[in-house]
Amino acid sequence: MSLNGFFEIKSLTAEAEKLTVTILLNADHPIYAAHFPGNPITPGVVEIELVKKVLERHLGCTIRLMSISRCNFLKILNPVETPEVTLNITAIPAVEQLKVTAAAQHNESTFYKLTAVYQQ
Amino acid sequence: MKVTQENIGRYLPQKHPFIMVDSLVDATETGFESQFTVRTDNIFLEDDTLMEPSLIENIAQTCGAGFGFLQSHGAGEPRLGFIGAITKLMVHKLPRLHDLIETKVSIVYSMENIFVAKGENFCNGERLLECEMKIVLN
Repeated sequence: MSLNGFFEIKSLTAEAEKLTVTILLNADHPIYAAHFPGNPITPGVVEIELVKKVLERHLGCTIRLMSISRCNFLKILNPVETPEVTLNITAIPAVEQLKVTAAAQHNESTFYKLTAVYQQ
Repeated sequence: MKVTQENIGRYLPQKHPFIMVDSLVDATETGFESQFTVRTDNIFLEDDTLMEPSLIENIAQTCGAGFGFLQSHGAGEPRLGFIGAITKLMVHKLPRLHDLIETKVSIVYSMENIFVAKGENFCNGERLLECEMKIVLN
């Protein structure tokens, strides 16, 4: 599976449609050595994938990305400077679908915001 | 063919296993074309299906290699590029192991070091994923 060993979940709380998940990034993962050498930066596509992996972990099943209406990458996420990130996710179920908004934050910083639809 | 698989690393700041394009087939001021084969060592391969992060990164790196080719022809260090935003992304179909992905990117907008590109990946003429992407070159 992709992103094995890339992150671990430190805490997860769910309340109705809201999910708050704090994750720890593994700065020693090979992705960071490749993106970029000597300058570890979480790739935007991996940031998007983290939302899916966290949702799958919470739901206990796999989901498929169908569409992204918008994803804004607001701030570089360096795993050495910011190993801990909280994903604030709202997941609203529709017919066989999950409408998701997510924001990745730490303290006052927001790293990225995603609006996407997944298939359950 | 503008850049072969042997030389693509000169045009991209990423290293293996995060290189998601094999070769640059065409590069003009208005757009780029690339090819990429799904191999067993792809970190986004799950049960012989290539997941969408690889397809999105493939579009971004097609742009990166294209800009690198047009601007420097591989001389000097490749410039770092970042995805600023992704919009209008639709996943149509995911490719399988050994499939050949053909990617087309058109430049919608450019101003200094900021570009908006529309990208699509195809396999055997069938569309896989499409999106628009804002790219910021360092």
